[in-house]
Amino acid sequence: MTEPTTRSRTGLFLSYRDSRASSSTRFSSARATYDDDDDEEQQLIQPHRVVDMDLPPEWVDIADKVERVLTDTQAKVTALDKLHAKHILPGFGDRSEEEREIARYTSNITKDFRQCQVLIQRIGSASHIFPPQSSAQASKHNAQTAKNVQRGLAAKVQELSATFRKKQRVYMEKLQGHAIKNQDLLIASGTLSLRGSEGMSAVDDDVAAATHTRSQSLSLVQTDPTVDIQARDRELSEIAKSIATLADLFKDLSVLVIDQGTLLDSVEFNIEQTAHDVGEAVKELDTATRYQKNTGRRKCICLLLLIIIGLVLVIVFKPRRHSAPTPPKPSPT
Amino acid sequence: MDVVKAVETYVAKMVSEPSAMKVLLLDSDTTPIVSLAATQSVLLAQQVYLTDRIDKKNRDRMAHMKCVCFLRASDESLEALTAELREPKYAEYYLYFSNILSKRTIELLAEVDEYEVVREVQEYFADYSPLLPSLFSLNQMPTPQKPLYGSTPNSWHPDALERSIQGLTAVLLSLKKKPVIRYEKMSGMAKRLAGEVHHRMQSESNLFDFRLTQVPPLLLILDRRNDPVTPLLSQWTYQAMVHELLGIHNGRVDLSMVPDVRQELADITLTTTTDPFFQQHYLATFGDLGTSLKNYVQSYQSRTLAAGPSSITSISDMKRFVEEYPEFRKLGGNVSKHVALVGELSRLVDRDKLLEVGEIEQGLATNSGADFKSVQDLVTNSNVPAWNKLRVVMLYALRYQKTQTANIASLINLMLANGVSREDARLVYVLLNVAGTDQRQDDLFSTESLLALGRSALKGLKGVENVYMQHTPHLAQTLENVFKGRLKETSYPFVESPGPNAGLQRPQDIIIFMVGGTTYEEARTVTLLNQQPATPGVSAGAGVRLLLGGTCVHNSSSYIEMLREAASSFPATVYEPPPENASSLPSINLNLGGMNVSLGGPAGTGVYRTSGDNLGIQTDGIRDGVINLFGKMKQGVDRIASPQP
Repeated sequence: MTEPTTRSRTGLFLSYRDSRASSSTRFSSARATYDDDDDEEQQLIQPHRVVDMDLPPEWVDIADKVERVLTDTQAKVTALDKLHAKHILPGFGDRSEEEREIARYTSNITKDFRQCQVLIQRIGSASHIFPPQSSAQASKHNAQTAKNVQRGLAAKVQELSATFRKKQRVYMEKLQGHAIKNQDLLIASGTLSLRGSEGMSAVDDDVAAATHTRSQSLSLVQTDPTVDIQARDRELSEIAKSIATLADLFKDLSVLVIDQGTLLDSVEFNIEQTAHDVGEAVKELDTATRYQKNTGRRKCICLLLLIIIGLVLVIVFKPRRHSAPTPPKPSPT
Repeated sequence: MDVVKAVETYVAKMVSEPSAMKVLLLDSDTTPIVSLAATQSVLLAQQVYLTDRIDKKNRDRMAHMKCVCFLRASDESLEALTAELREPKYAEYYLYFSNILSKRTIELLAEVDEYEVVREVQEYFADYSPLLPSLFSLNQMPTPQKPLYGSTPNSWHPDALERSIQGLTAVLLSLKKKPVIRYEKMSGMAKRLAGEVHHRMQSESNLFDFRLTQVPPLLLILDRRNDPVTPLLSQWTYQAMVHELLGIHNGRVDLSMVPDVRQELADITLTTTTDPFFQQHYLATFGDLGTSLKNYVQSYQSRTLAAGPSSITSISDMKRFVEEYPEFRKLGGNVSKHVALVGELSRLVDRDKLLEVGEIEQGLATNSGADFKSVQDLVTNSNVPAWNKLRVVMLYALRYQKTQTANIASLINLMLANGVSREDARLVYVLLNVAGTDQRQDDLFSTESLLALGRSALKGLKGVENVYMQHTPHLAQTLENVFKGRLKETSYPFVESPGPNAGLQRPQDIIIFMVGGTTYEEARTVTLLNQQPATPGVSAGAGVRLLLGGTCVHNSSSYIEMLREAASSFPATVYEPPPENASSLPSINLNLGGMNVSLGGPAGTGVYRTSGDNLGIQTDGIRDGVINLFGKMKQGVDRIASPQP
């Protein structure tokens, strides 16, 4: 189907606005000509604008950063994809350079994802730690927005990481199909991506095997193979570890992401919810102020009661004391 | 002709515009529209991080956000918007309106935009709720504040009329159709609406400037009153049943009344776009639904087993599990939602004895008819809720309005004795007055002509596959006539006839609009017709694209409520039995047919057509005609006489 009809009235609107602006003597176009006249009025308006221009909350910056990292990661994933494609083609040359490149990219991407996750979680805390100085309902509103920002970004990260992992898997399958027995690559390319700690023994086995073959082949060339092997070993286990954390990350974020088809996903519900939340906040605020008022009043009442009790005691005891020294005279019988 | 897609496109275009953090402001009219066409996650993906109502005060100032407003240009929304623009809370404003803006409104907006924060002003014609790809609603559920009918059952309330015109124009614009319009002749409301929409199309001719098709699309405006039976019936397909028994409001179902429902299921969403199971089975009958749900639960179970701790033995199993987990969890939520929903439906069917009621209803709604005795039994049955008794008696009254008036009266008395309140009972006569035989133009029960009787008998020979699904809405028959080019121009006239034999054309795109509300049963009919393979020759309706809409979507309770509210503004006679019912005489002159009296000559004095019951007028007419004739003769004589003074 073709695009549905729309009609832009912006042109008409702007022409009306401009004609208004030129007829009234307040705004930009008029400003240059009537300098003196305008100053007064502008001052009436200008401060209003400046004062209201408060700093955006911290999560705005964080969200921007996440967006940036995400686009960056997206580029990296595409680059990695190309590398994968290149690597899969059979060849005879020394490919360790390529392999290292792939490993580097993979770990970089994983690192990016983790960074995103940390940042996203900071959005949540940032909005809670620094409530804006205004009223309680306002902060509630802000928190709602922050929460939505978190959700939106989490969904994006999840989507990207899912495509990333899918690509890894496809790549791995292709490698196996080619029957390339390169253990290093298998580790790097995500065979182990989702193993937890129990998977590590397998990694160790692989690493042992890999280092063994490596050391044999490299010992001829390299003077000090142990250093190289250790470095490589460390690198590999790092990658394996980082990939394992990717799974954790996925799990963490999935708490934030809204499932399709649930009530949370309904726009109407969300609008009602903000209305409800704000209403609730107002109610809570009311109760709070009431409590606060009450405590003052209550203190007053307590004080008064204490005074009354004290006075009563005084009344009760004073006459006694008075009466005590003058005991009733024994009536003469 | 997919309204869901059209509105989705609109919303997607709207929120994609400034690529920055955004706030989306809606009003009470556009909220349901957006809610049906987009989900929160779609909006979040477009960086819409806050959705709110424009009329809500004390929103935060957020100068770092940009604002997209989607509003209907109603007075309240405009007022809220001007207040907003006078004191802008966000950095930039992109204004979208759901309908044609008047120049005056634009001027007003330009006037209040002192800070020059407005960047765009656009008209996006998403001014209706897209419920299904082939069903839209104008969300005009009549309430005492917003009635649909004016002071008679044949006239509009002016606000409702304006809203319907706007809604229909928006539908046409969003689908890029410039149709020819036909309407139901008996209905004053349909005629009025048709005329107004036609007028609107003429006056906004630059908007309605679409590529012409060989056969222009057809907009068919019908009146609910021509088929009062469909909304009164119990429904037996999934979506219709949920609406009938629980009510679907803007894709949401409130289950909080259900006994011991889990907290997260108290309020659920139910739309075909977001729910794959519902998408597959929303047209399924209740019996089929049970089977499919069982299979669904079983497939979930087998996956649960596959995901159970014992079955994960290898690393690849684990990997698969983690990968499938989100999908799996989603499935779990979906399964429990539908199980709860269907469980509740069957509980209600059982509680209200709907199976018994449904059987009698179907008999009354089709030509087979039902026994007076069985209806009587139902009314006296103490297990059947009063509401269902009322519906059955209403159906009985509609079916036998002319033939068994005495029975109707006795049924009403019986009903009063069996727990139905007087308030409710008198609605039977309201219904007869508003939508009785005299108000309808078509033969609803196919009982009146021999041909129709024969046709339905033929249908009866084919056998009935489901006793609860015998009724087909009258719309199906109307559409069949359209497909065959047989819809009579005398009963469905054109607003402006596009030429001779226009009635014989077979339009490829048909938009049906039901004044007074449509039903999910009709939507089902339309959807099924749409699904017919587009191979010509197989059946008449193949390849034709249909779209159904209405002022709202009714279930039986909302329909009866509408009648109740409308009746309070009608003349008081609406509560009395229709005139023919008062005596037992009229059944004799039923179907005397039209009587043509024509007094002719070259002058063609007049044709007086009358059907039995107003004989007085007829004789008057004849007398007038005779007087007229004498007058003409006298004139003629004078003329002959005058040349020779």
